[in-house]
Amino acid sequence: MTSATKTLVPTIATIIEAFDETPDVKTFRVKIDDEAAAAAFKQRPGQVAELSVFGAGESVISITSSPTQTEYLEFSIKRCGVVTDYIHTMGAGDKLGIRGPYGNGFPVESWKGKNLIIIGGGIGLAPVRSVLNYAIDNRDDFGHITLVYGARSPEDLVFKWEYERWGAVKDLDMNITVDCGDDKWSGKVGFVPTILKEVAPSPENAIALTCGPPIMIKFVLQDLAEMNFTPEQIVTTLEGKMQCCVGLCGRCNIGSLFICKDGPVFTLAQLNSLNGDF
Amino acid sequence: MVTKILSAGNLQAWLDSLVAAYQVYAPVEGEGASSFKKIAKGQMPAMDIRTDTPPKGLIFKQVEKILSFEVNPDGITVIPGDENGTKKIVFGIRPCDSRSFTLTDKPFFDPNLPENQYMGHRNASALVTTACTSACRTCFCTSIGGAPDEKTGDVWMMDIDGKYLVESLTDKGEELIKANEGLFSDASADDEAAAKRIGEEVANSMPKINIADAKALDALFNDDAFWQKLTDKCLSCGACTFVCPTCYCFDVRDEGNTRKGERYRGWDSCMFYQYNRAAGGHNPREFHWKRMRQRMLHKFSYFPEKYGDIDCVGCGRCIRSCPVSYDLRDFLEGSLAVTGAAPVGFEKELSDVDTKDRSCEIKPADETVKTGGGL
Amino acid sequence: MEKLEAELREKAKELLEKEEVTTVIGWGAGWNPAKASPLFVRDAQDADKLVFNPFCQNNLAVYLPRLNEKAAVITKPCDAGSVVALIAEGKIDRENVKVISIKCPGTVNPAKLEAAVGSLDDATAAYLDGDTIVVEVGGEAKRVPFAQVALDSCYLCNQDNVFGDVVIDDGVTKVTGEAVSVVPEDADSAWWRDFWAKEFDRCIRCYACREACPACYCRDNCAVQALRERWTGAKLDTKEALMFHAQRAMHVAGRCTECGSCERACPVGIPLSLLHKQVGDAVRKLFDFNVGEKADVRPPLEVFRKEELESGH
Repeated sequence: MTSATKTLVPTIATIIEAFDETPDVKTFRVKIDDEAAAAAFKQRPGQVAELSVFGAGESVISITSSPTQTEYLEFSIKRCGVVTDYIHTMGAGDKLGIRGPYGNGFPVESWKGKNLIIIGGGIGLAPVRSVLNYAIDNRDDFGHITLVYGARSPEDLVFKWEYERWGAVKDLDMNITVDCGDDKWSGKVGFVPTILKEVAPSPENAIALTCGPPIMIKFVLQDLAEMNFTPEQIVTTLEGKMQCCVGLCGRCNIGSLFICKDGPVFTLAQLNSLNGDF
Repeated sequence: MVTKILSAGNLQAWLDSLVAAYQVYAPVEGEGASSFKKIAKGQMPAMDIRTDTPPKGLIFKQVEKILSFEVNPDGITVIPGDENGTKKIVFGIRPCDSRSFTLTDKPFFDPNLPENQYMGHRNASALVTTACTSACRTCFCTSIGGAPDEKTGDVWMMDIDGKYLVESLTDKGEELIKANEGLFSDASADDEAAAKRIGEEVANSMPKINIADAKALDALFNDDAFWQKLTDKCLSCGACTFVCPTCYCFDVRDEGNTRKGERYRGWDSCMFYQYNRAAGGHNPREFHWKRMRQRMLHKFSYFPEKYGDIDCVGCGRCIRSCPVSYDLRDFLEGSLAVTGAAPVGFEKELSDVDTKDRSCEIKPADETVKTGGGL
Repeated sequence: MEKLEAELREKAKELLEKEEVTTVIGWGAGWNPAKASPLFVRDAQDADKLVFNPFCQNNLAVYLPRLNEKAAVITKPCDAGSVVALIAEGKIDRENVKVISIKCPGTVNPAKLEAAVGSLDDATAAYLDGDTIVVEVGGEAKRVPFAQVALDSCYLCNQDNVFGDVVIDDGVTKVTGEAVSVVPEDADSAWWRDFWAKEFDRCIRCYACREACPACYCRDNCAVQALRERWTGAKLDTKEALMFHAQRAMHVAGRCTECGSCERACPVGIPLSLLHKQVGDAVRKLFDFNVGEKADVRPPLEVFRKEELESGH
């Protein structure tokens, strides 16, 4: 916790690098200015930070870098609101507010020895990428890794600059697909659920992580069930519903839980037991 | 703790003594609406009214500055907002309103992640509760676990036939009595018996509504028709939530520009269409019946599930203030009928959080002038 | 009054039984006899729950732009004006809405009544007896002439040409009287500033006025809560409240029927009617336009005529 006594007050961070991923997604590498605050900021894969542009407001963004990356925090941000629009105008040297990390994160310790199936769509790769890179950096702790990732078009794929590195990792089966190809695209074409069915990962000793647009999630969950994955083996993250991140503002309240404190990572089994407006 | 008698004639003297040392807020009649206002020396509060707006904003401010910022050549200077609170006494608060703070304390005093500004105002405040000697027809405190004579706050007092029985409930409260000992006389067992009798009489005069338990209500979640019918006439405004002493949803907004400005935390309402709309436009509670469902279940199912108490104090303000006269009791009775669940009643008492001594002592007003703040 | 109520229930029953509509929006009993509450009747059997009395204050036209079913709406002449205005603005699907109009005796202004008889909270009965409003509290019947406690707008109401698919006219006598909420003749801009500074000081920005207003149907596009461009600040002060109410007044100018729904919805009793009356007067003077009169004329501030430019308006 960066500011346990000042709940809603962020600390200052500097953007050290910013680059385009897609026409509407930009990745920012950020370092917290204050050394003590930076040292105290210890995130788990799947946790989020509340970023703020002073004068524009706050926005909850998942930390896409793995905790094994200690040089900086990475945020891949889609332009879709007042704050994110403003952040997109910012670059190296600009200052942001940051508070966090918040949320439970993925229980990666309990997944030791397991096979990971990571299923992402669009910007939904960002939260689960933290797990992917964590598993790569702790390669021997995990079994086989399957990545199924898709976007609308080749230019909408995020983290293209990582694919070569990921492709070289041992025992990592990488499946990148697009809904609609173009002249230059020679990879897979098809929706994520379709490709997932082709890949047909085994549920044995496996955990499936998924994040993406609601319609993709819907079909992915159906398909995983058909492949005999149990609800306990399927994990997703709901950080898009969070706002204040401290369990108070009320927006992410689902049943007696607050996504920002009790989530955002839930197993499908947990979600099935909850009544909520999703 | 002490129990004393204050003659009606000495009430003004006690108030004046408190006003001389502290900022004192009390019920005041006003054009259009009554509310808690800062009172002056010699001013007698409207002790017999139930204010149209709750005293919530004295501690959980409607708009609270979280920070101010300014860009300068070395970076950004961020100055956090007031977290010590202005020392004050909330005088003549009814047991329901007093109870509301003990409820809001539960999420805001989270041991792992306390909300420091709410906590600051709360610790800097002393509540002098006035028990009710009559009930309105919109009152239903006895149905949610409260009572017209519930002993909550720092000092508790009750009008027993022209004089007040005054009891301190905390050290902070005892201080307010001890500093003015000359105004009080000793209370007899008869006085205490009289207060007990009045309390019982008032409680008995109130119809008791049975409330389905948290789990049974949560099971109603998927009964869309129930919620749609319940919400038909709701206009989706925020009147109920803004006059509610326990509603605490908020929004965070920036003012100014990206070079210099402030950030505020302000009341929001889960009844607003805009409340749940996410960046990008997705709105999981697009329909007003979904928002109503969230509000009702948060108060009567989710909050009790998490903290053990219903997040409603039965003050009835939402009923009186609703532009379409929506009656919360219709929900309570309707849901009980639909769930068929045995009413649970409320065995659980409020936790001891309110009797805990708060870290921050009340300081005389001249000191508060220097630290600034105020409403 | 009983006869009127009976006719109303009969009509509602008929519409529901013949399945001409799926709901009839009227008034039912409120928690307090001096407060009727909107009622959506979906079952012919429930038609008897409909009431009509001088405490039916809500303007039910407010529900029409949000409806997605075939509905009948019961209107007082003032509310019928709102329906006409909404039709003129193209906000009502005329095919799906049946308007049952009542020529009514007038509506009680709760603030005036409370001023006359004290708090209505503990009223056990409230009714119109001839030309007198009777409120029973604690066994005592408090009586006050209706003419003293009606809405100001009732005194000006013209019931000659009431709009409606069905008009129920029982020849009830309409209340007459003098408006009390009037601006002093010598009111200048300083008077207005001081007056509203005092009144808006207690605004809690709950937006009940907006949601109770038939002309306020912008939902998430409302200028004060829009996602992107917000025209009011986060702070809660008189200036921001004034900004909100002034914007609302300007946005409903030429569309507001001055029904007073906003004022009655206000939990802190801000006399908003006065603001809308002032704006309404300006519209009448500038455009010679009466809101709610013609369903086929667009509101004056929604259209632009070349001659307006030439006449300097």
